[in-house]
Amino acid sequence: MPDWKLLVRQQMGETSLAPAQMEEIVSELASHFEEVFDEARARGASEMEAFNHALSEVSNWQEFAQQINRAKQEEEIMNDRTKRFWLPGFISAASASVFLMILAKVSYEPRVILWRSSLMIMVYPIWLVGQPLFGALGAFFSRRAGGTRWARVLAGLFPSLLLAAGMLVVILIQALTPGKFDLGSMDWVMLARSIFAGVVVPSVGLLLGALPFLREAKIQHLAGN
Amino acid sequence: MMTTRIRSKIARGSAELAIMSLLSKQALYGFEISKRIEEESGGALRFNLASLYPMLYELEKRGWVKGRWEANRAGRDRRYYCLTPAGKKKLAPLRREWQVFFQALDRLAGVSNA
Repeated sequence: MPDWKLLVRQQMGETSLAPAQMEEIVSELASHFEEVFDEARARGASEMEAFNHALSEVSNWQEFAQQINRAKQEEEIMNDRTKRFWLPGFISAASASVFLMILAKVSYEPRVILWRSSLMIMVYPIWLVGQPLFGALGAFFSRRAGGTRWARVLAGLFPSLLLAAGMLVVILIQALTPGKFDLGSMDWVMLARSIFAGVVVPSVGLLLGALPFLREAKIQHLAGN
Repeated sequence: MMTTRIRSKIARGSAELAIMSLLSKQALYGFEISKRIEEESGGALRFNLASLYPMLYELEKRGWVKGRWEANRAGRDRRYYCLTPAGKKKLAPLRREWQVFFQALDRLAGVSNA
């Protein structure tokens, strides 16, 4: 009976996997070879024929070892979450930011809108009009990478999520700074106004743009999961 | 190049579906998986060791299958694979996608009448 473990270990060569993990793989592959060998012997093959038959299970050991390495490594350079959410989200947010920077560069002034004669909101109409495009970008890239519907929605909404997170961080820093935060003196109306103009309204535009990409792309993702 | 990529993607997708469908019925170890696929497909599909294990490990990394060591009836230690809850959840849409694909191919090429 051939020493399959020794053979597999030798053929696999050096790998980047942990020794315990490699040993587990060697045991599993060796047991598979053993089954193929035994089956061939049971069919009446000679030991040499059965050995060669089992060996023919792997034609290119180098390629096989690389595939096993890739499959066993915990994280790929870019994992699925990065491809389906983070990257599309950042593309969306970066596009929205660049657009806003361009508007600032050409001295585009925000419009001031009075709501119910007291609530004043500052908006950049052209920037708002551009939101569906940024939402669409995020959702499109997420869908292309095989993102779920939720991943596409979140990638499309990413610029708003980022801004909301930024606001939250500022509020938290103020709250945690001794002597700086006073609930009574907090301008809640101003905060609500900023959230409405900076987060809620753009989110509607982003969602509108993401909508066409929320439908399942049936054939495209057939095999590329 | 593009043709090769499409072909390899289709082969990969069909292999995932074949393995996951089998494991949805019962836990099996590698050699059993390859035998069952060959038998149940009437010999049309065959997985050798080199094609099976990278796929199994990939599915395991994604959390769709899980392997555990157990002794089989002959007392040999084997690594049995079973579908995880996430794998079960993934299997239904995967089947639907392939159904849509085959229907589309059938409309296009009339393969079911060939």
